[in-house]
Amino acid sequence: MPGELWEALRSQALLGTARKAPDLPPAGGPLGDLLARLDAGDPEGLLLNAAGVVSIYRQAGWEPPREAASLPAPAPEEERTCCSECAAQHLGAILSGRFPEVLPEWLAAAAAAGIRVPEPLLPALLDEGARGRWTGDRHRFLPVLGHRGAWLARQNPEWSWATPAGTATPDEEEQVWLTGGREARSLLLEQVRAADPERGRRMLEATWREDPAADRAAFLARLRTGLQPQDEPFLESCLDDRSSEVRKAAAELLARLAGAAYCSRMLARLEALLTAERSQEGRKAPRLSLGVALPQELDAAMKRDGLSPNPPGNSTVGRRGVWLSEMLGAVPPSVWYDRWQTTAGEMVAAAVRTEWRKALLDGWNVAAYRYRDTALAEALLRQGFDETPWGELLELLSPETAEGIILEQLRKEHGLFGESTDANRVFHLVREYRRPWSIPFTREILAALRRTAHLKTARNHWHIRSELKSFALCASPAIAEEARHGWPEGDQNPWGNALESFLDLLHFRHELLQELSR
Amino acid sequence: MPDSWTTEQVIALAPDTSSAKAGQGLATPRKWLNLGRSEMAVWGECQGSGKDPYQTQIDLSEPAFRCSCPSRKFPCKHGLGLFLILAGQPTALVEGEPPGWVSDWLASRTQRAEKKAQAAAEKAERGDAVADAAAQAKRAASRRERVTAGLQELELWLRDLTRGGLAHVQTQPYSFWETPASRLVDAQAPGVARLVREMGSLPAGGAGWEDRLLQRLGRLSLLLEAFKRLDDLPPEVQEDVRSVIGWTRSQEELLASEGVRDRWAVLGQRVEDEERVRVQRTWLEGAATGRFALVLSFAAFGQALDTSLVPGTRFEGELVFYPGACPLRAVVKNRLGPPSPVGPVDGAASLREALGGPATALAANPWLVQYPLAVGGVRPALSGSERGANWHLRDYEDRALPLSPRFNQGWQLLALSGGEPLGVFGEWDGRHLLPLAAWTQHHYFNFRFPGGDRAG
Repeated sequence: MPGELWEALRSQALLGTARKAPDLPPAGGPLGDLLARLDAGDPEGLLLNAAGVVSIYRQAGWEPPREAASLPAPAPEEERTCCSECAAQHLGAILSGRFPEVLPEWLAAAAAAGIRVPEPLLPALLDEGARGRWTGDRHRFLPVLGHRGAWLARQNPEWSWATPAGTATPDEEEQVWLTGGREARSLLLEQVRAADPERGRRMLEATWREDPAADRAAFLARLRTGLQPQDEPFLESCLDDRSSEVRKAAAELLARLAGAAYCSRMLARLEALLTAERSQEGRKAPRLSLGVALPQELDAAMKRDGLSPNPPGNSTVGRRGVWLSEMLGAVPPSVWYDRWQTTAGEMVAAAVRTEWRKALLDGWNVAAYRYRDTALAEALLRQGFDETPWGELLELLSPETAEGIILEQLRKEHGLFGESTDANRVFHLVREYRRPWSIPFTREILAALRRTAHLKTARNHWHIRSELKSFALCASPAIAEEARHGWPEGDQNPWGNALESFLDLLHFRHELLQELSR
Repeated sequence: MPDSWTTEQVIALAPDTSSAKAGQGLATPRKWLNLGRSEMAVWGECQGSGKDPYQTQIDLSEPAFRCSCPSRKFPCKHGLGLFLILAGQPTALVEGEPPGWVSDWLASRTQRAEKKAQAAAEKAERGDAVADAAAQAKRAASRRERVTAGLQELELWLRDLTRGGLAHVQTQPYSFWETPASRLVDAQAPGVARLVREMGSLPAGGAGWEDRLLQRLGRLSLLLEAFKRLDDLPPEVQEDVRSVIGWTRSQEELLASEGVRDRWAVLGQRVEDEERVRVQRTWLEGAATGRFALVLSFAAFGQALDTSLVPGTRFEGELVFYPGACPLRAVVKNRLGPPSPVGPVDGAASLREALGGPATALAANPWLVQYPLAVGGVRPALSGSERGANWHLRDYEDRALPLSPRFNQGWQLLALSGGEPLGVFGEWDGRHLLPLAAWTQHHYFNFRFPGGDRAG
């Protein structure tokens, strides 16, 4: 048998012919005849040539073995049509590193157009979706994967993110929850919370005691999805957790639950510190004024509720100011409108007149965002107070209102960026406004950029140059063509490559959207 | 006129991934002026960093590229960008008469091709070899002597090794292999030198190294035996032996002989980086003859590789095969028309059937290392544990053919299949198949960098 022959040859070759002359087991048939013709009196030659002959014989006769394991059933037929060659080209370019920030837009447009991604691009797209930066956003990929993509994803554990909770069986889910890594469990929790918040929380409670602190903090953050009053008892208990990360995460969530005991506690504390009255004092109409006292010290209950003895950002207002802000951030602004019989605008104006305006406005900033209070957001933005995190407030307003506020501020600066601190503030406002710009807004901003570009001092404004590309992600691609004109030529152009990248990106978005809407 | 150049095919022409990316960056009509096309050519002007725009053109009959930019890469990013526009947005190209700088180039190409054919024909007629005959014979005899001496020396080394046993070989330093290899190069037997060097990397190759090494030693021994009897061997076997040892044949001589005419499909292609040179291996299959052919082209690092054979296309033409017992290597003698997309490819119906080809070839030429394999109706599958996951192909008999561990596009292959059978073409080396292309009913897909990026 050739297998035995080879075994014999191999072991003899390892030993060497010096130790022992080669001794081949007999072989029949043509192979045996051929081997018999080798010179037995030449041990090295015999071994080597026999090895050559037998190895060729075995290789020529090799048959692939049978595999018992069954293969998965084929993927179902696709319903969506495949995207065009050109659109696939765009996606391929994005996935291999050309303007990767545009991916969400491509995915949304493709999903809306009812198309799917061609098969050869699926692995790259699934790999991309697995990356950490997409946490919380992975649903964007799902529509364009098609049946083939979902089928493919089920076969690679690294692509489990693409298998929605609904399709995994309860057993599979339990398996992942009990034995998976933090990332996989986090993902599963997110999916389950989105579908059935109660079940999600129960799932977390079941393994809570055994999980390490870092995991617990991460999972707690996921409870933000589907946050509901029934979560309150569990979250309250987390305020006593031994890990500060967990306590912090719990406080953050409780602060968003309007009717919770947490809010009532904060409100009780604030009632002792804030007063409001209306006085005329020789004015035409009575005006609201606020009396503010800062909390004296931190008691145990306050610490439990997440206020820290040495909070960050205490340089301008001191830690007691920060405590005030944090307490304000946990109370829905509507409480104050009721109590003080006032409106958002009046309240903000009154706050500005106090000594502790920064603490108050910082606090209400957070409250406006947490409780999605558009009136308060608008009031805060309009009074133009410094150091507010604009982006979050702008998000709350309708696009028309937000754009209106920004353009108002811009006009105050004569439509220029960078020439003064106020002008810089407007620039930052634009930068924080991360939603798709309307066409008129885009035109105005472009006009302002052009005017700024023509200034002699333009080159000094390096912050403008570095932000241009992010503008290109929000600007309306419909006017990509128009955008090319009006800039200073050649040497006079202060922003060189950055401008070129800006126009490139804008044009790329225009092209890919055009192609997808065919 | 094939309008069906795909993006994949164009990207495949790029010399490295940074060129591919740069080419993609130029694939927007916005960056071009005067884009146009005719039946056989595509052209455009691209603004670069210089004063005048670069003039780029493509002769689609091959394809061949020309660009006035100073880049030494080939094809340059402008050529790639222009070609991508043809593939993705053909309406951006205006049909019409080519401008002067395009028609001039096309005309000079036709002229050059005609002159070349003429010169080759004349040379064959004249039989230039007459004057050099004596000198050539002397050189040939001298080489034969040196090779004989070199191989005799190698035989002694081989026997020593066999006496001592393979177990000792594992601890030998690299010079153990390198010294005999360089002596073989001096003896004008570079092919054997390469075999010895390759053997040197086996002892460190993990489980089963003794089998692999013994196989190669065995075949080397057979080669030495064959050389001793060279003149008694049939002429085709002589050719194979000479070829393995390192004798080469002149392409000119070859081109003068009779070719095999067929509709040749370009099934797959890959590039191997050797010591000082890059080798491009292109596989073709004849529709009528059913023969496989391997066309090799060489380029120094940084130089252009031949782009005239594009996987996924086919053309009517003549190939001349290098002589041998199982002829595979060939050169393109002429083409009788432009390339068109390759239609459905026939593969063997089962894995065992497909392996019949390599088996027959091995019987004719025992020193064959790689053989082309085309098999239809297979499904890719992953087997093994997390760590040692391996891809293989499953046919209707449920037999499994392992794919090369160097193949890193298993998921793309699986995506193309979707669980349904498809066809795969690749190189079989006796242990693994390295896929170079796959086809379904609607799609021909070329695996361009099957071992990783070429650019490294």
